[in-house]
Amino acid sequence: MLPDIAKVNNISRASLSDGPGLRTVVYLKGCSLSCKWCHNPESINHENQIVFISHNSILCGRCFDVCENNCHIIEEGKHYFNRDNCTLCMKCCEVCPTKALEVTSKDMNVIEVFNEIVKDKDYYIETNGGITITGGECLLYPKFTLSLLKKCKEEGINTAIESALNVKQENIEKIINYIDIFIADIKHFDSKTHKKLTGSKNELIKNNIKYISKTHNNIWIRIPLIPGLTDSFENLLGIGKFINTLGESIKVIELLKYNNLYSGKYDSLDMNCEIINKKPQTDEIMQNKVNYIKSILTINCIVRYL
Amino acid sequence: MEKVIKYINENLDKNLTLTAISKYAGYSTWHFSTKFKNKMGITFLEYLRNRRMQLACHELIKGRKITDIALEFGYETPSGFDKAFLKEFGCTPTGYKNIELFYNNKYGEMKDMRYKITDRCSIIKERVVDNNVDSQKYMGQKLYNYIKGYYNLPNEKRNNYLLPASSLVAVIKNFKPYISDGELIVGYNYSDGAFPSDLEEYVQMLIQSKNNNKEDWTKYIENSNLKSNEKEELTKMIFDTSDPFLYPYNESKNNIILDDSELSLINEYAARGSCGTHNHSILSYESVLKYGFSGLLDKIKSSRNEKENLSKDELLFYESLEMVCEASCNIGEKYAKLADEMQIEYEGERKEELLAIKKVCERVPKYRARNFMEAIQSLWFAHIINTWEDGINANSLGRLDQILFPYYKKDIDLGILTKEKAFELICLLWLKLYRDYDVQQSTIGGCLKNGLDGVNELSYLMLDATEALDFVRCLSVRFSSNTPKAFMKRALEVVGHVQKGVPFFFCDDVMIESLTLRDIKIKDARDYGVIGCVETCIPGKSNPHAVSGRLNVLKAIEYALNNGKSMINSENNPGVKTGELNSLLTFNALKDAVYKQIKRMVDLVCKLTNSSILVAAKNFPLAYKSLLTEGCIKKGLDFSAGGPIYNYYQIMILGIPNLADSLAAIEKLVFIEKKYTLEELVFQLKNNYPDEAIRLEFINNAPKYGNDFPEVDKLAYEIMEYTCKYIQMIPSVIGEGFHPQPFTFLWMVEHGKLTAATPDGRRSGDILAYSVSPMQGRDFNGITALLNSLSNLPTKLAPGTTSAIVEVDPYLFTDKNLDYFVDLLMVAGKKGLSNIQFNVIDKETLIDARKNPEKHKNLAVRVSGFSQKFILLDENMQEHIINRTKHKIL
Ligand code: SF4
Repeated sequence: MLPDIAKVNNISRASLSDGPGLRTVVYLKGCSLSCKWCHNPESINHENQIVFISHNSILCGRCFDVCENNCHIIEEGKHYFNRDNCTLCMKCCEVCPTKALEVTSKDMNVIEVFNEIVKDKDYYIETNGGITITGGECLLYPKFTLSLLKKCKEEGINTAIESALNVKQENIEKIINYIDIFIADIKHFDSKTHKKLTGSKNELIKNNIKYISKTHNNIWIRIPLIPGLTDSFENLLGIGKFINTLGESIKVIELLKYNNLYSGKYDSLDMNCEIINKKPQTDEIMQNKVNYIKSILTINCIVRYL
Repeated sequence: MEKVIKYINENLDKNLTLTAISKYAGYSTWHFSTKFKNKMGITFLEYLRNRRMQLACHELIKGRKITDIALEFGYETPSGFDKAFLKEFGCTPTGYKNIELFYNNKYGEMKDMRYKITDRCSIIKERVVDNNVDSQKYMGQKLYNYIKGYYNLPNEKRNNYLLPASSLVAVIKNFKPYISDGELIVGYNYSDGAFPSDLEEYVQMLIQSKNNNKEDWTKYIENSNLKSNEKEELTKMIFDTSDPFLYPYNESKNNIILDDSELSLINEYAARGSCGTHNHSILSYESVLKYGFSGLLDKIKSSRNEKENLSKDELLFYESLEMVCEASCNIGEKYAKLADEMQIEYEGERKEELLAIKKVCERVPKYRARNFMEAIQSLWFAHIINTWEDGINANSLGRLDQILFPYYKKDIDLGILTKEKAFELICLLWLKLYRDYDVQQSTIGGCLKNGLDGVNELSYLMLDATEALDFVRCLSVRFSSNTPKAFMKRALEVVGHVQKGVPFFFCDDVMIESLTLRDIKIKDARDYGVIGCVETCIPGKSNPHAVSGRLNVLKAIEYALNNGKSMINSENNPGVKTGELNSLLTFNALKDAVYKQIKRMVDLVCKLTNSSILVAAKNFPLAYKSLLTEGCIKKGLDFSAGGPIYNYYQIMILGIPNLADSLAAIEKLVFIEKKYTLEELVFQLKNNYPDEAIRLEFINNAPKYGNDFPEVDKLAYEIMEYTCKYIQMIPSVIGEGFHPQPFTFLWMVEHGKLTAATPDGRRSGDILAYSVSPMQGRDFNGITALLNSLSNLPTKLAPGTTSAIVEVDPYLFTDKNLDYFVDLLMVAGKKGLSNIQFNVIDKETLIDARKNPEKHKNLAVRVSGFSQKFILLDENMQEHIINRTKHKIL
């Protein structure tokens, strides 16, 4: 039997901010939302993409030689990449010696990913950490995610997933029993605004959160605070009231501070980033928002910002 | 035996009988018992009991019930367990648990109790650290007295033993005492300056002074703080004597014969060797505290009287020790007298202090120390004399928290010392030790001789002092799975606060086993201390001969790919003829060729070292070190001649990470993917990579050590294993052999200069990796991956320690993350990490990273939920991070 395969963007080890303890975070490619502020633009698209970092190029001309579609152009000592004719054959990425051209993701099977994860098992145990599968949207790979989670559970590794939950409920049903910590994102309370900001309405998401709150007892809610878009008190009020209806299975609420360090990623993918150069919130503002949410909550849970 | 010990350690929970284990080892029970006792210094059953009891301690700290633990460890009643525990460790399980909990819980509490440095210390700090004022006062003192002692010895006494002893005695006797404002601990050694540290170097320098650097000498003498007649005398002694050099230098010539290719190996810095006897020691200052020099003098006399038919050498040896010991007895007196003279001019507090100094110096170091103050002063005097004998450099202090604790505890219990005062005294000692380049290491933490954790209040106070004074105080922390996490957390916090890479960390679990594997008795191995940078030493019992030999294994690939010829100088044939390229048809054939080259380098290093061991033994006795090292007085044999209980020679291994990366790149790109032939590669190497794209391909498209990639970590393991094992197989002419030490010091630069371009993408002449750290900028897979790579190495084969520096984002040192950091280190220690040091990234590095991104690929900035490599950020963002990080540092 062929093992389940997923497009893996990155396996990042020793993370301290994706659930408790020290964790290995598996980023899968492809998402059902496309938030305007996405910090991981390489994970939105389901297809492989080429990351091109022009200042890494030494103009050796190898890509120029292998490309059958003349996508690489060197002009006045500068390397340009014209994606229009690119067939994504990836030959240029193979020959590039400098990592100026790289494929965003790698097809990996569960065993390969698991072998990476298990390398840090001793650290998970000592720190009460484990793995976190995220994306893109990891629940778009229900089979892969399920068998990876199962394997981790067999090995005694603590499991978490982070999801925006814009997926069919059956995708969740299958895996929910193998998850120790369910990290769910809520971006905006109002469905219309949600659609404007992420490309989708939020009814499905809300229903899914209701569903998991009934079936799972360790849920962490994450809210990205994007200045002027999601950080209004109104939005926090809406989300807070919604969380109150979910009950005690919500254990942690994390407000994510905005940062503006990701625009280079958009450039390297030739993607357009609409939200740039906003000012990150100060710690004081973040603490205010935390206090605000706390004042709304009728349930008992930890609220903090990252 | 190594296998057996490993087997025992892994099966402690099983029923291990003497019969069964003897059978496993393949000996009769009697034979096995004897062998075991000889090797470990305790019987098999004692060892087993001790190890099991240690496991029990673990369970205790974890909070399990004593009754349960007793049962699990085979005691039917808790009281039986109590008794056994008491016998083994000298305290009851409950008592032990309370102490441990005390230290663990105290962490939070102690935070508010931490002391600030006193005004006295701030003033002295300004004087010592910022302005270096005091050293002016004693400039020239050591040189003048040392040379005078050398000249004044009557002709019939001018021999190898008495000449250096006489010089040292003259310094001890005649070095002018100084007591500076505010000092409570008194005594100086000497300032840094352009003069050598021991007799051998003096003589060399004197010979040279006749011809070359007359000007420098004249200037130095002019600036010194000597009386004008002394200056004249000194000038005369240096320049105007006709033939004063009766010191028998002819004998010290090394009679070793080397062939051309061996000379080339030496000239290319592939292999070098000498006998490192100089200024790397940890002596038994403890015995000075315990017996005083007068007590030690009695010991010399009685040992001598016990022996019959003393040889001429033995007689001279004892005489030299007596001379030095007698002079050492009286060093305190001078200071007592001066303090007494000075106090007349003072009123009030300072008068009292001077009177106290007088009282202390009247007593120590002549007699045993009775309290904390006397202990610190006595230790400092003992240290000064040690540095006068052969230089300050890396003469180290040993396990200070253990040595001083009994005195501290007694005084605190009696109510005659406060913690605050103890803190101030430690600060004052730290200030005495201050140097711009300081490798007078002290060691804290770690286990006691019985295996229990030895962290005590002084361990914490010493960390506090290091943090509060905020300069580089060479300090290392020993830890194991028994160490309280609170202590580790505090130590790491100091790393983060001081931001100068101190303290360093050594893992007991690895170090102790690696030392016992080299025939060091377990109780001694548990007492190891750290010298200088990272060399290991059994304090007061060994001559570790640090920095004896060194080899650059990276040269092995250069020679193997060129059939024994050098690539930096085509005239040279330093290597073994391992075959032309067309005979290296498989990767294994190439590896074999590399090992053959390494073998030959090791042979030469050991040959060179062995020949100079004999020269040192005959010509460079060290009386003071013999006095304070167990074994010498009893045997009647000098420190340099095999007198100490343990004598071993540390051989540094450079280039392991680069060689692993090189072999991995060849395996992948030449043998597996067949993208290049060996000939094409060698063309690139010989011509220093004319094609930059190929060079980058060898860097980027092959696995690199330091990322937890098994393909290449396995190679690093094999290279280190092969080299260490072979080094250990070669006997030394005196002592127990060679201790491998994969450590580069700063020499990765000079060795790199003489190494051709290598298949890991390193250009000709470029620096090598530091010790066993990954080549700079090539570890990009996160800190756990790096720790795994480091701890996967066969560290237990390196009793001279491996060493690694890890650069860490200051982010990781925030309070919130320290607990994780502690866990990381504890786990890595269990996995086999032996030494680690941290570098907290500073602004300069980041600026350099912006300029030279290829050198800093591992630099990552982490933000919630997303992390990005620094070099991938656009310019504005980089600027942002540079500024942000600076704020964190300031
Ligand atoms: S992926 Fe293929 S088609 Fe696209 S630029 Fe590279 S070589 Fe050309």
